[in-house]
Amino acid sequence: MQNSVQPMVRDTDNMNKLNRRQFVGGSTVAAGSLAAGIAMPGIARAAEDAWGDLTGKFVYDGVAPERKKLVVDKDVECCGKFDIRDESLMVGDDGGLKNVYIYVRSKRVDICPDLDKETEDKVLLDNRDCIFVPHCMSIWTSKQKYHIVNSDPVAQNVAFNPLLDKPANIVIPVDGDATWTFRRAQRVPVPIACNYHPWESAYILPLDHPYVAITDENGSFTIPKLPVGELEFQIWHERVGYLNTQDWPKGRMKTTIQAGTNDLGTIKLAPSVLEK
Amino acid sequence: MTHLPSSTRHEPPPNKPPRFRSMPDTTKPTPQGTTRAAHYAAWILACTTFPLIWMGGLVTTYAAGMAVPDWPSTYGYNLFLYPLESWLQVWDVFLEHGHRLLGSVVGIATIVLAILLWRRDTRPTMWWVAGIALAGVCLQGVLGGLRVVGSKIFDTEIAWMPAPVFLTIAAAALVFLVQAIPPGAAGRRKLGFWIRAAIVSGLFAALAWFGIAAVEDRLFLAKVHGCTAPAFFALAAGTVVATSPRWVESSQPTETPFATRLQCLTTLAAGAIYLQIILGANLRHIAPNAAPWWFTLWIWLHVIVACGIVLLILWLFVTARRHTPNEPLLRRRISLLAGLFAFQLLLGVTTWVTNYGWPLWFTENILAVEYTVVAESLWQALSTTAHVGVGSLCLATATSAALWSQRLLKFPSASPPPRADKYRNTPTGQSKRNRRQ
Amino acid sequence: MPDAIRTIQRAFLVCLALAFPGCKSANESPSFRINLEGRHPAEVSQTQRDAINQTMEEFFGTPDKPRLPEGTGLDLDRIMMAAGPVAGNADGTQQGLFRQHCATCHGISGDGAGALATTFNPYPRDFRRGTFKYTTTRADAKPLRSDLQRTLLRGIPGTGMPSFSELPTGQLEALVEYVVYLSLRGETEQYLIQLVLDEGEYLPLGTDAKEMILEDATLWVAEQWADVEQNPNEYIVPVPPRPVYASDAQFAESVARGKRLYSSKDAQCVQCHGPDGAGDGEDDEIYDDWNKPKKGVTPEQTAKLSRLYTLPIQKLRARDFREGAFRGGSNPEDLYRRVHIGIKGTPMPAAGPQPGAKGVFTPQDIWDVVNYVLSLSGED
Repeated sequence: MQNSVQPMVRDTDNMNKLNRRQFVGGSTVAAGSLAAGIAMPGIARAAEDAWGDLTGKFVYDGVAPERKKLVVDKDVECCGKFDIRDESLMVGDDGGLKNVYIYVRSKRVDICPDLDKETEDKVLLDNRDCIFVPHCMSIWTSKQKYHIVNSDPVAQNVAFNPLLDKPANIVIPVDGDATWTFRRAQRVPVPIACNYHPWESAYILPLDHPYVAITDENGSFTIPKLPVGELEFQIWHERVGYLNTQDWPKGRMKTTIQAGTNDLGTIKLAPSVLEK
Repeated sequence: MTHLPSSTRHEPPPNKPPRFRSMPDTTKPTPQGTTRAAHYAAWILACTTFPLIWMGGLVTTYAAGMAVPDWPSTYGYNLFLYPLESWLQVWDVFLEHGHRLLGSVVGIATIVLAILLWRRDTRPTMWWVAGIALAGVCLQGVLGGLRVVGSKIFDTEIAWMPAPVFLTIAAAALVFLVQAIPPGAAGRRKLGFWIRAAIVSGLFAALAWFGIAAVEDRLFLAKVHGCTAPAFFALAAGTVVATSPRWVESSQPTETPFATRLQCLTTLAAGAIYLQIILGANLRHIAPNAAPWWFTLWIWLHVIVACGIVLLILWLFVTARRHTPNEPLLRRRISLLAGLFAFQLLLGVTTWVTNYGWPLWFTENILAVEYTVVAESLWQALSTTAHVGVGSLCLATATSAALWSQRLLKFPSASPPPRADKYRNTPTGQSKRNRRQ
Repeated sequence: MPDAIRTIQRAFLVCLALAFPGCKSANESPSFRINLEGRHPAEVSQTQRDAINQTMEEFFGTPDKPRLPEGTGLDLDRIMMAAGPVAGNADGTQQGLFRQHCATCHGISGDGAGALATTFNPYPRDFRRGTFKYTTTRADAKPLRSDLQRTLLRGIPGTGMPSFSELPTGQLEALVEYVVYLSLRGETEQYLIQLVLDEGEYLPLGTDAKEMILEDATLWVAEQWADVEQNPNEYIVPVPPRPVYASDAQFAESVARGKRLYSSKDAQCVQCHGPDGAGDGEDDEIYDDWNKPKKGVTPEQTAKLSRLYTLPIQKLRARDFREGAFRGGSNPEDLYRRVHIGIKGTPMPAAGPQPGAKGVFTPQDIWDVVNYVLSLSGED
């Protein structure tokens, strides 16, 4: 069982660590309960507890607009030959909406120990054909590192600035790579830009748990091995941010996960929901 | 019953000295009105006020306005008894306390001048000037003091106190004015009297308003303090002019068709320079939470008015050079004004560069200068304070030029009636014919 | 007489009417401005505004009376010296240093939107993002206090940022501490704004929420600042000594190598700085992090977005090396750091090696590039 955070002791001479004492209210709450009140990487449950999956499919209920061609005016010799289009609204042939984020919003969530073992230790961002591949990613901050590679014949740049975390502005030479660590979770996906090629964009969502899914070309998603019980989910799409619908104000969905598969079914989104 | 001519000039009864006369009455020979002592006193006042303005500028440049938290004492000591070593040791205290000491010197000079004018000058206008100067210097002192301690004194609803005080003074002044004119006199029906009464009451009303708004607002008080100082300096300069022998002895002004133009231009120049000073005061005293476009707005106004003044002075200079061959004094004053203003423009540029660096359009298109602004450097402090000081000097010079143009020049009037024929009935037909010619 | 009395009465009423506009001024005790950059004011309710302002005041006090939560590691005495209205004491100590020297450009909240802000290009720094451009620390780390002090001492040539070398060291330290305080406050406020406005946290904020803000935001950021001070060796970018060249020919070789590296496809310097270092690269629409959010896809969108920010959008200018006025300092060591670390908050990337990324140039390469750049500016 994972322990709560050790209270850090202040060494007044060297100021090595900070003493996180409370100041609001003047009450003296023990460090343990303080830790419990803050979002924590989950306390691992015994494996015999039931875990459930969440699945669903997001569909764009309308005619998909044509993806705009982006202006490619830098490194034209290398990048001009690609048909680079806007990726902010990608609708599949059957209407499936790609790149919708669904992630657990609840502060306390138990993590399945299988996931602990199964998850890869790296998340890849590839600079390929003068765009970022994939367009949307997520990363488990305490377990995974961000691996950025450059498969293009020109140097690429990766720049992002997560709230309260370290900013990144890395040059990746041709055939080069870089590794980045996120130190804290974010509430919304962080936009990634390239300073050399302004049309490039991607998103990454650092979380301190693995319960996040991004819809694929068909609009389907699966979040495996969620803890049974009531959980609150957040739905986000880059076009509008939180997917504000009638059922889900501010894109928040509360649902009770049961053991086995929990299917949300096909969720139709009217075009007005995704309008900027 | 004598039929009084319908002239616009105010004719006093023949055996009483004139009371309220607009200044100056250039057709009558003025009495030998003043003494050398008054003239020297006026010069001393002007010469002590000028460094005082510089001191005040330095106080703002070094933000030493609150270096001494109490007033009129200095850290508990009487103004004149503050120990010399303590005064000289700290720069900020040196500036602020020195400013107060010099202010008291100016006050004494004003008192001396006022006494000399009241006792020795026969012109009632100068008595008014003496009174206004005395009131002005007291007001400046009080403004300065309020700027330091104001919010402490009036921390409660007592802030409303000055208003009733001023309003009572306004009412009393109005009653006095009205009482001074005997009932039934022709004067009461004159528009001029009511205009004057309205101006005086308006002034007191403005004081009442300022009293409330300003007492709580140190920044506003600082601006008013900074704007009253040049006005006082201009008044001192005007007194120098009005007590000078040339002024007192001058009898017949030169007639020239450019008189009105010159008089208007010089007066306009003085007014515009004062407007520039007010704009400058707003640039120097900026509220800590002002909007980000605040300074840009005021700077643009400052620059636009400066351009206007340049054109004005150019026009003035050319007119004076060409059309006043017999008035070298006036030409000299206007040339001095032009020279000072040119210097002031140069100072404006150096003030900008030493405070905010070379502007981007200059470094990009004209000359790439590598320059780092140095805060509180000698050049910065000097040029900023000089810009303030020379600005006041420009105002004083413009005032002097305006006064002299009023005194020395006159627009040629069509056949003025000779004095002896004042009460004779001129055949209207004949005079009309003359006019048509 | 009756008409005179009537006039007096009317004058009295006029005076009374004119007297009422006077009211208590906000100049005496200014308050911090809430950070609603990029948000439409109508979307923020008064309750939300009050909650944010009240929480920020509880944590950090006011411009006249600053406070600090426990455990941030900032020096409150120095902050007190720099805070408050401008005043002096008989012994020469000063009060209100920030308001005297900094607030007219940087704003009373350190938001870079003071009264003089629109006069300058580039705008004064907005401390609330916690990003500072010219440092000796790694690209992903906070600056050292000594970095901020160096900026105060040196000024930034070619901009409106003065050099405060005339001030005594104690005052400079106080100013630096106050800047860190404003930065910490700004980052806490960002978190709080996201919590209240985006996440819709229930108002009024309870003790739990405030504890969370304190832990998750304030102390987190404070630790980043403290970490750099306590472990400087981990964060400072080492600058190897500049190679000494035996002859002019060798130096010329280094300059030629630098030019090759500068123009290489790997480095992409030419994109912004141009093929001859004249700042005329094909990428002329570059923005720093403070202005990037104001840029939309179309000019209409940019205009619409710009209105939601305090200051209008401002483009960045890639340095023209021929001018020589290098903002972060013109020493060869300063230029080395610029190339290695980049300029935080701008598109200028870190070309040197950092943990996790090899970068584009080796330290030797960087010296060659620096020699090339210095040769363009005519300095050596």
